[in-house]
Amino acid sequence: MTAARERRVPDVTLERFRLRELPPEEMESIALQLRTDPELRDRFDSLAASDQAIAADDFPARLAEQVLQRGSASRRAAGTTRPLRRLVLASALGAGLIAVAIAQPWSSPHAPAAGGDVIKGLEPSLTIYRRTPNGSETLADGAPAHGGDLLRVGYVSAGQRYGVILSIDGRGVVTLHLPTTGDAAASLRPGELVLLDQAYELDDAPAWEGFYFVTADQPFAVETIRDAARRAGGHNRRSPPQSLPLPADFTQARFSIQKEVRP
Amino acid sequence: MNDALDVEALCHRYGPMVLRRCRRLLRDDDEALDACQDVFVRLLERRDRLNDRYPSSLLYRMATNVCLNRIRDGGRRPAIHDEERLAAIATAEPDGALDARLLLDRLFGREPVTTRTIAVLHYVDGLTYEEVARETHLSVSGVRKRLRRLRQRMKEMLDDRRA
Repeated sequence: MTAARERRVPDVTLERFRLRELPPEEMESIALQLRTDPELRDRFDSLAASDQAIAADDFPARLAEQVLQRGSASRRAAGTTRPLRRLVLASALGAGLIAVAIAQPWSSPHAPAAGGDVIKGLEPSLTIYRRTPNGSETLADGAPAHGGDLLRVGYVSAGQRYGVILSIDGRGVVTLHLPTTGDAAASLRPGELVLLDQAYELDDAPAWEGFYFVTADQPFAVETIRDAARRAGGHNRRSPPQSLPLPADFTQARFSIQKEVRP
Repeated sequence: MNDALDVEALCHRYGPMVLRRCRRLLRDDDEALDACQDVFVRLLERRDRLNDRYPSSLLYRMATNVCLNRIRDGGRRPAIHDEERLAAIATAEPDGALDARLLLDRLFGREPVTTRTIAVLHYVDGLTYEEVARETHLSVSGVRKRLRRLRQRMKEMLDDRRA
């Protein structure tokens, strides 16, 4: 610990110390250092002065207001992305969602913040796009959608190596999205965001659609996950299950959609 | 979740820290304010992920990512005070000198967001491997490996240029 105390305390550490969001032993160490290190004390006092200046400008309240405005605006109409070039109806899966082959990928330079913020190692996540007349838009978790909407699923593997993506609808029907073939979980591609090759058309199943991204570091069977999804979705639920009944070895991410009747 | 209550509380508690981080990386007040908003909008959109024991860590990392993306999208280099620290990366390596310009090109052109964030936390912010690992939820060996690969790629680029 002596080596750490001799070097400059990073800004992030000092910020977190002020917020009392460091582990106890580190809190103690910084507190000790503050008593003996005038340079560190000056930096600490500067942060306090900066906080006061920012607060005096009423910045936090204005920030919150602007964030809420932008948040509700993006929920009403998420950002438009590149046009969807061509869609070809490929096959129906019989129930649940209808798979649609895509000639050109849906993508957006600013989309999916899912990938931008969650860096590898933090948390696997799902992003869902919906086709619009002019292109596509990113859906927020819990966003409303309608039968006939075309959706495309993307994931961020966040360092996990194997994964399965499936959805459960309001009737409890399970649809597998990844992998598209085989009995084993797909090898996940690294990167900020990986879009699945197919889009899916929402059918008229009622109430909700829940998407689940189950990942692990070791290979696993698709059937394990599908079976868990059938059990979780088979209770005439009013909302999608928060998670699938799986051992803690699996990491799960969920994305839900509220089904609404088109006016 | 009560969005209004939570967002307001989060902005009061963490807004100043996030704004300072954005100012430091962007060196432009207006852009820092926009970036700060971006951070909290993203947090609002992904509020279910706010399950870290220490939200400051997540927000600091998000602010770093948002700023690096803005720098990348703007096609400009980061306005960090201590670019000399980036230059020092070169001489700090036992394998020989690397070019700080190359590091910036790599970081803000082609490297994935994870590596960019790790590199900035380590080389610019001065965090140790262990601290970077803690902030990014990666293993120490993972951090070390990514930075080693980054340096290796930079060295190869430099060799190519010299050749």
